[in-house]
Amino acid sequence: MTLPQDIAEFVGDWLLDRVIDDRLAGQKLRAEGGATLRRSESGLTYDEQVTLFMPGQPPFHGTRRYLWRPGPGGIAIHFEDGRFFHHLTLGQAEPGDHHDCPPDSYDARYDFGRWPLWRVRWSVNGPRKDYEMVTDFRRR
Amino acid sequence: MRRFALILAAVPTWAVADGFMPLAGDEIRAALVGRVLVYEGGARQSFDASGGTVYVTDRPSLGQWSLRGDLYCSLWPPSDLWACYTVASDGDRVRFVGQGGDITDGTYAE
Repeated sequence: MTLPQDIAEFVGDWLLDRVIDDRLAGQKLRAEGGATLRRSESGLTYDEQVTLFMPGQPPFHGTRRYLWRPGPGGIAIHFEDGRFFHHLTLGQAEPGDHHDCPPDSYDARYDFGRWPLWRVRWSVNGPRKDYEMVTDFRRR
Repeated sequence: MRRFALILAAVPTWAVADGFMPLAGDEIRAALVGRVLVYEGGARQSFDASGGTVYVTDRPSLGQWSLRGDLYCSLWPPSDLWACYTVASDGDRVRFVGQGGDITDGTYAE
């Protein structure tokens, strides 16, 4: 099994497919798009563009930026505004981490077992949130 | 008079009671773009025409906003689900009403 060992291995363009299982609303949503990781002064900049399809509604077009910074044993992922988000441990097939955003909690589980295909599964719970989001990445 | 009564019946009671009137999509855009709202507790939120929004408490948080017909929708990382609200205004304040009936009022900053 080949696993990513260094932040530099993520540089480049990725296609993504996403399924959001919104258990609170009782519906599954699909999204597709791409992500680009570019080198920056502090590491990498992750830029994502996705189109979210919701039944009976026009598609939502969204963007998101994260800052990936090399850290002990892996990558420290920050929000665009600089706040720490979570840690991605490298050298493991299925690293995970947890992020609290009171009153909500976010649990991440990465899967690098088929690298350079990779997946991240977010389980999100809170008073108004109960969903699981699975995103599959592949090289563009 | 009958027609007036029918129109009133279609307006949410929270809007009539507090002097707020519901806004349609274009009115929501006009009410928000380039403006700053101040919320209870002092948080401030601005809205730009390209769909970005900044919420500032002790530090800024970056989100996105979008219109879906007559609904204002927003997305705040790390959440991946858009939340949509009906919007009303009394000219000085903007009221967001969530799908669960939760109400948030913001006052225009000078």
